[in-house]
Amino acid sequence: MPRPSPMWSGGPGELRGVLEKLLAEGRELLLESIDAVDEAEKGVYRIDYVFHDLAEGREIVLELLIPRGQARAPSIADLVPAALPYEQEIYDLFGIVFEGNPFLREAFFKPEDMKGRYPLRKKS
Amino acid sequence: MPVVTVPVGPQHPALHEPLLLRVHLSGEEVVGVEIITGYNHRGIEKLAEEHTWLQTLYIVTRVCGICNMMHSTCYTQAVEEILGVEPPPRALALRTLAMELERMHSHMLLAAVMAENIGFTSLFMQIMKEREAVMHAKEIVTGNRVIADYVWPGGVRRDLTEEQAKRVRGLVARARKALGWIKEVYESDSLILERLEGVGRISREEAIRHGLMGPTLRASGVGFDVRRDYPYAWYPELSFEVKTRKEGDSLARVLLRIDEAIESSYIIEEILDKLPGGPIRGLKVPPRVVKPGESVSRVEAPRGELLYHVVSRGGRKPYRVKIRTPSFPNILNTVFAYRGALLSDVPVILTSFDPCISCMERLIVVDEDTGEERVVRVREILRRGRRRGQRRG
Repeated sequence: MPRPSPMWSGGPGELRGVLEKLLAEGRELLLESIDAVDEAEKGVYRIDYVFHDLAEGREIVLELLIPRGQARAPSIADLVPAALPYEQEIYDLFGIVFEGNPFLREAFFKPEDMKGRYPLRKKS
Repeated sequence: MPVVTVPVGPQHPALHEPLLLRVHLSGEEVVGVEIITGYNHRGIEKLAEEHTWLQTLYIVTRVCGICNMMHSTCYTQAVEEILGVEPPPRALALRTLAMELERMHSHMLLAAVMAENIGFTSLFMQIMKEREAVMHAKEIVTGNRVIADYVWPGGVRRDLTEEQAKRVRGLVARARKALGWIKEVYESDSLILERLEGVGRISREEAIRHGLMGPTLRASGVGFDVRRDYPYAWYPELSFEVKTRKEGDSLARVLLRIDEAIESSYIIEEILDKLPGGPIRGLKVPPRVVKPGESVSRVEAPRGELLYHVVSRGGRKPYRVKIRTPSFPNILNTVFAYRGALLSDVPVILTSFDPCISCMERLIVVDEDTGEERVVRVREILRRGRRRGQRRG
């Protein structure tokens, strides 16, 4: 299927508020994926948070856009513990720091000699 | 009591992924587990960005040997979506057939490996013998026992004759009969029950909070199955049941997989009954250039939902291929399930998630107080667990 249109799209300041609101509605959200795309030509990293709403049986996508020059995003791991390894993976491969995630470790996935280099960043 | 750390891994000769579990123990009881990975990062997502669309199909097929059909179908579905190509119904039915065969042999493998890890080697041998029937059926359909390379943009690469369909039918019926007694053994053998029942219990809420996938999720009572919730391939034409269980323990996870494998055998028969005629390819030549677009593709792999996010900016190579395998959350998010278990339960819990990392050959026990290290063969730990079972029994 085509990439679903996001329910919300915005900057790092609002993400947690949007998610807290969704969870406060009593939804059972199953985190399916968090994945990043380097939109080099637009100068942003786009992070898609893909959830499956178990009650409604449909997907919910939140789109976070962060400037490439300031690769920092808020962690949602305290709200949704399932996010821990996904944030870790994006940190490792894109170098985006998730503030508040206690388990960020470089070279968790990639080899030690790749420290300081982020393989999935595009050349700009 | 001092906390002792037991590194489990990272060398697992018979398994697909090297992984280190640092198990912290107080006596025999697990008080915490750290997971350390990265021993074999192959950089497949990066490789995909640097190869052509068709080369990438061969790369993603090799992400996992057991569920290679799932990976190639998931990727191809995403590319077809961007291209706007709809494969002919016969091709979709044949893809579904091959995928269900793969689910059957994967679940049978798990039942076998679980038996081996609790010391029931004869059951392991028996299940592996019966599993051969499914492997053979897969060879008849796709041309290969393991890595199939069966899916092709716009269709599949081989057709199925009437004669071959009949042979597949016979083999699947044989495997179903075997699954019946395998289930009976798992439900009734007192030693199996002693080792699996109530071990590594995961509640429904925990499974959702930690984003677990597939049988691990469904064994905790969450009925999420991509085949039904995001229908793909030929599943909309088929009637099947999504199995769930409520117990959430290691036994439930194994029994659920056996039930799913039996259900798969019925799905396969239904496909063979209704197999539509017509061509098996919708494209004469595979595309060299793919127009700009984006697609999210999902497949229910044996271990859970497999998700691909493919981005095209036009041109001969993908811009981004994100692969989210079900083992990713199932291995990395299940640390909580080991707490309170015994050291001898660790291989059982690990195996019950089907992450292919249970056949570790040796462990090093480090006493944190004295700094003393000793090497323990995994068999010794398994034997210790068996002795415990015998004492109770």
